[in-house]
Amino acid sequence: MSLSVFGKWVASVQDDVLDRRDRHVDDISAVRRELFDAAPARVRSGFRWMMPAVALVSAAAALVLVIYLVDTSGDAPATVSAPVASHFTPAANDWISVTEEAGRVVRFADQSTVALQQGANARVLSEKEHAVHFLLEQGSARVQVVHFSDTRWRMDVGPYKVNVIGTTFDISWDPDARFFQLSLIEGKVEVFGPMISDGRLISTKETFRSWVGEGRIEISSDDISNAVADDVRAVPEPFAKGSRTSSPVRRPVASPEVTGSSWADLNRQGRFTEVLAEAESRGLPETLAERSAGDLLALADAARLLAKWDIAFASYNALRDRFRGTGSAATAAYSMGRIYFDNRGDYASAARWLETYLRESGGVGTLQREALGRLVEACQKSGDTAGAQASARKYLVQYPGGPHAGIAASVLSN
Amino acid sequence: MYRAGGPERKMVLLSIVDNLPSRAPRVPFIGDDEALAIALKAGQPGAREALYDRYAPHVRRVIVRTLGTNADLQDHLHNVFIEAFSATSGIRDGSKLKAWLTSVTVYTAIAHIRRRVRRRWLVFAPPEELPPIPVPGLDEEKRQALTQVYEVLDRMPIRERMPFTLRVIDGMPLQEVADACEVSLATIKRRIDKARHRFMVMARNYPLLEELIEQEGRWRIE
Repeated sequence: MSLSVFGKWVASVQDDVLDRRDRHVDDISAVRRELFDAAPARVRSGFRWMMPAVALVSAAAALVLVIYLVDTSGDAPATVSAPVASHFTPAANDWISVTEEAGRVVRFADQSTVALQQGANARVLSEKEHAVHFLLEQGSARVQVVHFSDTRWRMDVGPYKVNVIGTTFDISWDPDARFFQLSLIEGKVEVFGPMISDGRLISTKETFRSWVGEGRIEISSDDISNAVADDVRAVPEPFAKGSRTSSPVRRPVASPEVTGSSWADLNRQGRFTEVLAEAESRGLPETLAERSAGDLLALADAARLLAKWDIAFASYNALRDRFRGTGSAATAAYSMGRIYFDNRGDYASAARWLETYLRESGGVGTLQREALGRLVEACQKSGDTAGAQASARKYLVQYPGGPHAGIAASVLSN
Repeated sequence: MYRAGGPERKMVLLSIVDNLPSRAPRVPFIGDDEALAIALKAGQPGAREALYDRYAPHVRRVIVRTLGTNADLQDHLHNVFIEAFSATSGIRDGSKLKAWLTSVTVYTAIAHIRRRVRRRWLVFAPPEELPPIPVPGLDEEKRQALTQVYEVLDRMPIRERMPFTLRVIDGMPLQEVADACEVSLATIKRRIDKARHRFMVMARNYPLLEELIEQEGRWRIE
């Protein structure tokens, strides 16, 4: 098919993926709720009938909280306890130094909270219209920010700046050890600072750690089982330095450096000649005897695409000898079938290698359809009528709408 | 009310009720794109919701075309509209609201790709590079082909990748592609030609893609 037709095919597959996805996930509605609704979506949609009761309970809880606060903070300085104006900015001197074992919670009227642990020093740097700027100078905190589409939350924690959307996370900074940690429980944040000056999105269940003094960072995906306290007054369990690193079940995250050979990467960039040059500089016999299956396949493919048939065949055969029974060996058989078919016009040999691929891939290879279709053609062109009809029947059963269906049908009709 | 003080107090309360966005029910916006653009610039209640309701499916489709189906669609959809809401002052022609939003989507996708490229030196892969979530019922060959298409695209220059995905995959008219990428028609044609050629060359290293494109028996660059 032409590239334009191929593009349309890609779009149709993507649309199919979206259709299937829409049966399970409603992206549009989910994001709409996130953008425009303040209350958690599941309460608003699933428990709408409970809203009056929830409102009543919330009002009662708020009243109890206010009474509690008035009762426990009666000695607040007059300059600080005055009613907040609409553009009130807490003064830079409003330090919050937490010495109590139970910690302390900074609560905002939009239900956002910062639960500071014992030993934490913090302050609200500014609270402008629709924007909050919070500084955690040292210590640990659990932060719960309720998302509004036009409010902005930013936290400065040690040398890091954290842009917060709607989210819950644990964050800590130890200035002595110069150690920063952020564990996302829910939502996402963007972190800027040393070694990630361009920013890094941290998503749910990811933990970002930075040993600033050592110039080292780590991002891991953790299973965090700690439930988020519904009552914002309830300070979460202490998460002292180091405790979080041992408790979660670590799930290794794939490293891009180990997913493929460097020759395969060069091939993907179209740098086939460099692959060949490197193989030849090391000595072809040594390369064929020592390199991995991935490298041999990459070398063979590079040679095939550069029409260096002798190197291509030598590499494919070495791969099949050294890695017998593997998927790479089967792929090598298919590739040799293609060379015989496309470049040499030797259809009998092509048919033999295509049959080998079909046999060795056990019916699960990604090139099954193409191999079977080419086999129909190869048998037909080599004069193997019986073979062509057998493979054509098989093809039409498995791929009645496949690209070789027309050829297969004509083989059977003749 | 704001209460704060010394270490002996257990709670600090910040009341910023007056600064919170209104939660009052909003009147649905009624009007065409030009009216909506004016409403957006004026910060009229309901305008943002109207923009979202009108174009969220289009934005999601452009995200899928430019970044693939393995991308975190909700994250990107969210980010595009956050970006759009903060950039409404840049709407020049209300009748081209959709084109403007497409360009915001492309801009956001480009920013995402650039960030991802810069992060590649990290030891751990970012979530978008992890194996894709299986789509129930989707043919394995199709899934692999989609993955490989975006592997090839990931290795193309962004200025070629974006027009290629919008034109070749989405089938967007050339002028709209040029508008979305904010370049002239001549430039976009040149870039698409280069992108087509580059894609064909690079896709040859993926047997499955090669087979799919080559089903008529030969390579053809249009």
